[in-house]
Amino acid sequence: MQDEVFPLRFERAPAAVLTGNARPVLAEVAALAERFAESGAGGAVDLAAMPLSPADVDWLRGTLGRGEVSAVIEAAGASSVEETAFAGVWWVTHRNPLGEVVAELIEVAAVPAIIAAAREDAAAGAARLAAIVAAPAAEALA
Amino acid sequence: MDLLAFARGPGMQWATAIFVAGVLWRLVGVALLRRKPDLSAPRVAAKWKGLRLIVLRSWPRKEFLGGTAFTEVMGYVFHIGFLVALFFYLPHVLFFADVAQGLLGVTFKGVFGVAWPTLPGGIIYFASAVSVAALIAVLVHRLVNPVKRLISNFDDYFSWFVTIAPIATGMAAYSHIGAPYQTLLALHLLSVELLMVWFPFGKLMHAFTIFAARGSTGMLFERKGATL
Amino acid sequence: MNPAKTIGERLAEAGVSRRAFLKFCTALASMMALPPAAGPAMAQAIATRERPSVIWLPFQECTGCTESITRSHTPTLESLIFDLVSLDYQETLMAAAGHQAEAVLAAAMKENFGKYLLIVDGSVPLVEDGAYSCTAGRSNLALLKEAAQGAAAIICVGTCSSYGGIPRAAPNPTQAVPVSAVVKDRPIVNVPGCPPIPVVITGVLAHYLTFGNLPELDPLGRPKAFYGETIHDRCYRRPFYDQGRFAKTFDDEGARSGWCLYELGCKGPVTYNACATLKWNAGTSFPIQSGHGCLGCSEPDFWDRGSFYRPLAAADWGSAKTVGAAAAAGVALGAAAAWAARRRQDRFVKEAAAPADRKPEG
Repeated sequence: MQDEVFPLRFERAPAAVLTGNARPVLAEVAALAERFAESGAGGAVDLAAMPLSPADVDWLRGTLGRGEVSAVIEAAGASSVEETAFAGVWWVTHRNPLGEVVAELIEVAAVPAIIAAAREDAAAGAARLAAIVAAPAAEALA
Repeated sequence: MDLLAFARGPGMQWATAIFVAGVLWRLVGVALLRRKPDLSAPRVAAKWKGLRLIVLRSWPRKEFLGGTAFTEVMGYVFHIGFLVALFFYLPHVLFFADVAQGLLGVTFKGVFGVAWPTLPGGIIYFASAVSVAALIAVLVHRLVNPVKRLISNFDDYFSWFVTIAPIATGMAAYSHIGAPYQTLLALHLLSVELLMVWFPFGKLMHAFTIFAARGSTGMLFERKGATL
Repeated sequence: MNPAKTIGERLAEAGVSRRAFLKFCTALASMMALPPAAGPAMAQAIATRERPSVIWLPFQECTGCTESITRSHTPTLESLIFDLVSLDYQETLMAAAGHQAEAVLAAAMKENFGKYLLIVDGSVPLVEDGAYSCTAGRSNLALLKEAAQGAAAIICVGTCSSYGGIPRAAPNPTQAVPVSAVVKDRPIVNVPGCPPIPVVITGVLAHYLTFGNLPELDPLGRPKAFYGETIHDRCYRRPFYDQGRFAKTFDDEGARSGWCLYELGCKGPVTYNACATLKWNAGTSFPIQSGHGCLGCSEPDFWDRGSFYRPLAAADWGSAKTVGAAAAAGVALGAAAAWAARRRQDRFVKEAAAPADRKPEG
């Protein structure tokens, strides 16, 4: 066997180690959630800024659980927004067109900012809609 | 050249050279001194038994226990903490291994079959902290006790300083307190180099002379028939 | 192409939605280690700016830095050079060549005088008036001096332009120097690394775009956002260092178990860079994760700081020869001291034995 000739073994992923850094992150999320419930002012925690191992992230994800809403935004790559088991706490993952994660955050808000339509985009959309309404019926159908 | 490069390079080379030359200067100088001829007849034939003093002097006699217990205990605490940090912290061991390799062409493992053991950083840090605490305690004692203060000179205080400085800077470097790591590491190395340069010329030299001094005193006492 | 258009207008014309742009800025903020709330603010700031002209001059270098930036994923190189900056001159990436390329360079420098961002990779050789490295018959030295005059700021990409790098390694035959040794009167940002992490290069550009100024720098001219902490401090193998568990060779149990590589010469403790957090190849891995110690490539003179495989703790205490010489000197001094002491004893003994010889005092 190959293994006996040269005992290659995959590095025990240190990623499987919990660093103990996940709990303070969770505490920060809890504080944001409390503030949001009281005043309506939310916030976000950037997971890339924290020295978290993949196991830590998994633990956070598991602890927060899944809620009622999930959405995918197709804007320069897929972004996913999932509500956790705690209403108002969202797990937001941004991917680039190649599918690589470019940002991952926990956002505390009524609706994550990325979902809401921007007024500028809405204005442009309204103008296009109006143009369709104003156009002759035959042209619109064509 | 930045501070760290100096500390790791020329600073370390000069300190090593001065340390080696200074220690040998003093040891050879003492060893080659003419001994006064003892013309009296020895009271005891087996004078080698006097070497027991090396061990006996390592703790106080019962009579003095009350007066010296504090100094003795603190002395032991400091020395053990210091030696643990010096000889069982991996970066230190790697330095000594490099010196042994360069001077003798041997590795510890090559000679003894097992690698020199090292201890986790946390234990080293604790040993260093205990060591620093003991050093501060003996300094306070030295300053408070009128007799000790009277018999203390520059050598005592400066030797104390060059001893505590490497431990304190080492702890700071380990925990990144106060400055960027490179700066702290450079300060640590420079403080060690100061210790090495001062070592042969002050009371720190006792590390090399203490056991020989006890042994020769013991042999002298034995010859004269004194109770050890 | 109308250069007066803001980035926001250009993006809207290209059909990029506000959502996509917000997302892009959120990713940028995350990469630049800014608080998440900075994302929307950045979106606002960038959208209202014009694209700055960027001139990229390659000097004594290996093109590794350009290779690196083509791997940037946040922002991708495409979005950077098409949406955010106007990359007017880059020998490797541009289609133009020869006289055409040089004409583009001259035009860009003239049109945007005082406003363009100058990116330099590679060191500048000084020997023989810089004849060792020339472009279109002009030395790097002359070109740099000219280009620096109209630059709003200079970004040194790579260790060569930041600190001299490998061309400057002993014995430095071309007398290579960093940009900062030639240009003294322009703001300079060093983005060292051999090569630098791609997203660090683009991140520094993004910072300039967003805030309109240069990021906060450390004493070696590096942006603190990316070079604020050592590899060792952010290394996932750090717990093993603290526990005293080390790989002793590259194929032992410790190495296979992913223990600390300090004993194998890792320079992580004295190297400031973002490899341990941003990693390489879109966050896939970095040298230590791949089983090799850090070389310290983002530090000045990393090439001349002893073997990559010698532990950091093994300082240069000298050699058997220097220590032997010191020992010989010590023994000689000791012998001389003892001899002097004996002579003094002899003299005292002699004087004591013959007090009559002594001259009367007073």
